[in-house]
Amino acid sequence: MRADARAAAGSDAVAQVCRTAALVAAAVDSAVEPAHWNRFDTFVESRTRTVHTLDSVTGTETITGEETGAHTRLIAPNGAPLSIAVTGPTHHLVDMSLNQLRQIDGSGHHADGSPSPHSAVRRRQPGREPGADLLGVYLTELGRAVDRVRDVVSRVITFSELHRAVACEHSGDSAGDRQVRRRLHLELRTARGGVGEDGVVLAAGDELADPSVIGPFLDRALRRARMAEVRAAAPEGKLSVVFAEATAGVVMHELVGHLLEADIIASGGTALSDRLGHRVCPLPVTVVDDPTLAERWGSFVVDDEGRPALPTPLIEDGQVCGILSDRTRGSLAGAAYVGHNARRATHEHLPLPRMSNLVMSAGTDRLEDVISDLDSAIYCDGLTRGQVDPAAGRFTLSMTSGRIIRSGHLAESLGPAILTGDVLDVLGAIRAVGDDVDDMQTVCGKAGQQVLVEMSAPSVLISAIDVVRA
Amino acid sequence: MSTSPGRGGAVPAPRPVAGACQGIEDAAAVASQARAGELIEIHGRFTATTQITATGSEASRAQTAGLRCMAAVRSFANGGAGFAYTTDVSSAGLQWAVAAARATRSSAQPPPPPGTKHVDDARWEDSSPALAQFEEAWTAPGPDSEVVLRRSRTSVLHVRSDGVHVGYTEGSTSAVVRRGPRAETAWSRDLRPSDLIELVERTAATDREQPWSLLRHPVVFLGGAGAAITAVIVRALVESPAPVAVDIAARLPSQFRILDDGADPDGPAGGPVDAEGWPTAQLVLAEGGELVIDPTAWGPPSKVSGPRGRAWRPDLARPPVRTPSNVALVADLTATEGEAEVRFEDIGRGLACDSLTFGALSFDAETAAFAVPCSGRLIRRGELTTRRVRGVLQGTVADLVAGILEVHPRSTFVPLVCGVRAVDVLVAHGVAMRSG
Repeated sequence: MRADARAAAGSDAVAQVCRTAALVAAAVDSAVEPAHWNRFDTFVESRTRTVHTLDSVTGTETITGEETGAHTRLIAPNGAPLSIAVTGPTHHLVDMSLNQLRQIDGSGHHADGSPSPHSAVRRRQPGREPGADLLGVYLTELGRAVDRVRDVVSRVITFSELHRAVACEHSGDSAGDRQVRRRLHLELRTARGGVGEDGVVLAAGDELADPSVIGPFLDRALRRARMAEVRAAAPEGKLSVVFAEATAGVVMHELVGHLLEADIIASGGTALSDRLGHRVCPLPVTVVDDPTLAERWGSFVVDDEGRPALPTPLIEDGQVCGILSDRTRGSLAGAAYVGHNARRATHEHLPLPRMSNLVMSAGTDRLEDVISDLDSAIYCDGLTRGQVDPAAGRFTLSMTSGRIIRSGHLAESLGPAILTGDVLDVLGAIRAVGDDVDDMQTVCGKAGQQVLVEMSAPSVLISAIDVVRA
Repeated sequence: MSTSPGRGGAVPAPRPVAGACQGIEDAAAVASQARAGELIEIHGRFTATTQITATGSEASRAQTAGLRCMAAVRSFANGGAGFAYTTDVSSAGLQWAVAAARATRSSAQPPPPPGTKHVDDARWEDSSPALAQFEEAWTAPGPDSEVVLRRSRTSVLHVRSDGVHVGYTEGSTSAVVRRGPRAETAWSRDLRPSDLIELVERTAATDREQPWSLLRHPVVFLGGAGAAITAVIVRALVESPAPVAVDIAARLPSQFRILDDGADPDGPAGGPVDAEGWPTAQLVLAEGGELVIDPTAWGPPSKVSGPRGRAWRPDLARPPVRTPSNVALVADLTATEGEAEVRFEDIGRGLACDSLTFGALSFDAETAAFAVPCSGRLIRRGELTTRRVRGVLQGTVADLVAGILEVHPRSTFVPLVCGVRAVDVLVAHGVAMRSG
């Protein structure tokens, strides 16, 4: 599909969800008695998703689908909130919302007279989108390229594409946004049992034909697989850990980002919210959450409460300086923090303050120099499943991939381990920040909601973390 | 509800959400438009939920009402299968999904044979009292705690172009009580207000947790922690290479078995039929030192062998997959005769673990080694102390199961990656707790 045609389709989708949001909002406004409820906002989302999987063992599979729904928030005179979340045909969202409202409100108010949304409905025609066949060709070619690598015994290539159109109506103002996410992922296994993977965000499907994108992508997955062929048991105890670029972003995500989210702060404070305005890192570290970065995994133009996206500095020059907030949690910690960070996993969920693209600025240290100065340490280049206890300031991170550092050199690969510690202790133990930056895309889960996030960070040396091997 | 009127006949309206998803009545008509040599399968779910969240004050009482209609469509023809899903369950929406499934038909996959044509669904209904009655029974435990009450009712509809046409309704009520880092969950199709009160008592304020190490000492996993450690064992049996899984089963003492029961209505997963319309039944994963179901039997139904009736759809946006549903670690009756629970007086020193952070589990499928954050109370001189400690439990699943001495199942299930029966498990050796 040509770029201008895609843009037109995108603006159509935004216009449609804006119209639907206005219709649901008007119907709910006319149905509720102000003595019982006042509508706060109405959010409408329409998403289509397609996932192509090329598995060298089980074959090729494509799944596709569409999902539409509306979420209306209301507030009782005493401040108690009510949410009506419905998922179904676009032209039934008004009726479904009113039906649910009647069950809660018990007023028996009838919905007759509400504007008919049927005129706003436009169905997508079934069938493949233009360019889909070419995409299949690109993916097949990539599969052949991987299969030609001598010791690769199996591989799974996944290309996923998500189109999300959202609109939020609040106090008569509405704002919409369209987010498109494309990602290519490769997991391969070598004859000696090494498993390696890599992922890359694509602006368009035809980047699959670009050797400068695909070559390094394939090389990274292969290198990781070969490194993982022989793994030693991780050492245990309080150890120095060098987090590889991007992987350090996961550390900042868990230790900094989550502890500065307003809903978590409101539930009893966190180890970092108590340190607003104070230095927590000995080095001039800067961490910013920035949804305005173009074509990143966590980017948006307006947040899921209809407010324009803005960068939010969280740590500046080593000092805690900001929090992530939304409309209902705009003023916390004794200062007014503007909330532009509301995100929902889907329209069924309530918005929560969430990270988008968490960016840690590069330092001045060369990774090679950092490693060469270490006698015994761990180099961690794969993390997953981070958890943090906000109030206690305790965290655990699951290391999936790493290497031992011995006498200033990277040595054998390590098996999985849990890294755990105290947030303030660990931030205070940052000893070096690399001049290298890389990013990674992942899914962040909180309160049962999964949202797409990106982390961008240099390599980081932390001088003491508790390590327990799995 | 259920029974099949045959191809193109009227579909019974899904009870909890009747009227909201009008178009699904056309599912059979849409399926009947299958082309020559094609099988169309439409699997729909219609879920109504109500949730109340409270932290003590009236103004904090938040209500949520949800209604969700969704259908997944598969098209089988010429040895291939295609999949699409939609929330537009109108006739037009379903026709779009059928066309999209045809357009994506690529994977080599024969259609599953037809399953049952009749479902007796009464046991999956929710008989819990109204949520308001839970609120009346519950006294706010304090501003630092939160209670979430949730009721869910789902109608499931499975229609095929060859005349298969079954449906049933399932419902449940759950309660979660959170106080600081601690959370206790109860799930049931017959939840009582007393269950909620028990949860509140379990999260009562306790001493601050201290880091602790315990090597080569017994660990008693209590209730939800017992369910979590059972889930770790099942994960190893399903995900590890066959030789590792066989070794784990061989080291499980012969008086214990591991079951998977999709037909158990007390469990949060499962149902009278699976996601492909086949009747469910109890399966044995491991018993008598033998692995009964090989790890290669789990995965997409078209790629694996073994008994049918265990295909599930965690959500309708993906094709069904064969995966455990309601698992349980159980003991032969003779193994626990006369003992209702673990006797702490027989344990000189050890840990009574009541919390495992399952979401932070680190697991190596190749070796079935695991590490998971935990907390609990110390056992000293045969008595359960009030001292709370935390650390990371560490070991291999093979060593863990070899050390199991006692198993005392409770009546409740815990929703984790699948349904897992809550259980008290005494492990004499095989796991270490390291300070972290």
